[in-house]
Amino acid sequence: MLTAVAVIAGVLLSAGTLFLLYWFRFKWKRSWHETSVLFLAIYILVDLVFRHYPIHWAYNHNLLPIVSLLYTGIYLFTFCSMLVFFVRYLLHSPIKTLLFYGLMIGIVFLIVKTRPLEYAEKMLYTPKPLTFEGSSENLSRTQIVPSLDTPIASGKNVIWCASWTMMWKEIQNTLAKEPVIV
Amino acid sequence: MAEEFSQRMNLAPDYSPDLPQGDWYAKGGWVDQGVIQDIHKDMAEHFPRAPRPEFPGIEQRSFLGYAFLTSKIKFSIPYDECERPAVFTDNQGKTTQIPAFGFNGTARRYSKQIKRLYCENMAQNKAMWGFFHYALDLCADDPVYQVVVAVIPAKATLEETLKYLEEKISIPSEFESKIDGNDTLQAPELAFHITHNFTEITGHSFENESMRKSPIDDACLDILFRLDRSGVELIAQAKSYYRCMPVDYKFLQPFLVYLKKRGATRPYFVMWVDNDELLRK
Repeated sequence: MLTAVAVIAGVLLSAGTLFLLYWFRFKWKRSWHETSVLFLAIYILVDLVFRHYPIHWAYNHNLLPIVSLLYTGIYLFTFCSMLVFFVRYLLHSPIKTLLFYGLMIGIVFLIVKTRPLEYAEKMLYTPKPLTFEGSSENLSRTQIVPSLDTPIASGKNVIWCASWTMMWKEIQNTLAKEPVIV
Repeated sequence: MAEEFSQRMNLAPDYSPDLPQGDWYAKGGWVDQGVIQDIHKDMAEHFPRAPRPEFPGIEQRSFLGYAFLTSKIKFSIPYDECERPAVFTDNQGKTTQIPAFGFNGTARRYSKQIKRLYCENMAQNKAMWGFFHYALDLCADDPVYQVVVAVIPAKATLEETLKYLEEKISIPSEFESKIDGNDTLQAPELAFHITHNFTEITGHSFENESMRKSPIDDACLDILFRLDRSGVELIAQAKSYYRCMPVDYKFLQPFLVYLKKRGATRPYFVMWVDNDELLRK
């Protein structure tokens, strides 16, 4: 479900961008070349400036998989749009135009290939299994100390946690109401 | 032994002001006065995701002391997993290949996240480069928590080791607090769940009158700890300046790791990693 939503959102976002650019082409009476160059320039600029921010934001809000898919949707749609341009001109245009669109497809492909998706993949995190689980009796080279001033043995890992001290203080303050004698 | 243990605990400071608000809970009372129900109610209210505390075999007339502490610290940008295994060398010189996390060539990405608290060239000839003691805050951009890892010599107690490090941090360093673009970081992963029974006092009794001379049958500490590439947060500014050589921060020898509320004087979790027993291999 989430996958579908993310892909649709990606497609809609890209389609919205394309619509704006088509509107620009007709409103200002620009050529397809100029419109495409503007499209690509805006695309590269946005990618360069905001590349990592959505990914960091998504990571910190546990939304990374969805945002990754959104990126995938945008990239796929962009790539396909450029491909459509290319085919369109393949049928009717001189070699210069074909080279122009071929180059643009190459640039978009390069961005898709090297940019945030790989970075997002790197950030996806799955905790690994525990290295040890059980009683400290099974640890010969690790010492757990009740207080920070407990002497430590050489050659051993040493672990201290405040929770034990807090429990002791709770007994001391609420039950014994004086220093605890054992 | 039990007497020495209780004396140490009685003299230990109260850590509650140094703990992040809402991360801990402590309660003491008598079972016949309903302390277990109180604990279950409070825990369900304040830590709904935590497992319900169980006290198997507890006597109806028993006392009960209970404390719970939890901290989840997430690095705003997870560190990279090192592509090649690192080699951890313990105090005896024994080496172990381990997976590690950190960065190599991408230090600038973490410039707001990591802060150098202490760095000292320990070589007798200061022109020599490569023998360093250092301490890093791995989540300097976190306003609440601080995760510090340090390569320093071990002292007789954790308290002395921490004091040594605090003194070193307080001395103005020749190094800037931000890492350089060419610096590298390699730190081992830790992930363990240990249950420890303090045998020093089990089988003994509380001698205080108010404690009804209660025997101590269970004195248990349960610790789940995980440190990996996603496990801490840090902010560092990206500043580029000249340095003759980069520093390689390798926590591949005995090192100290502690968790502290930012601005607090004392940590609430400390671990001296001396050998590979708890490292991921």
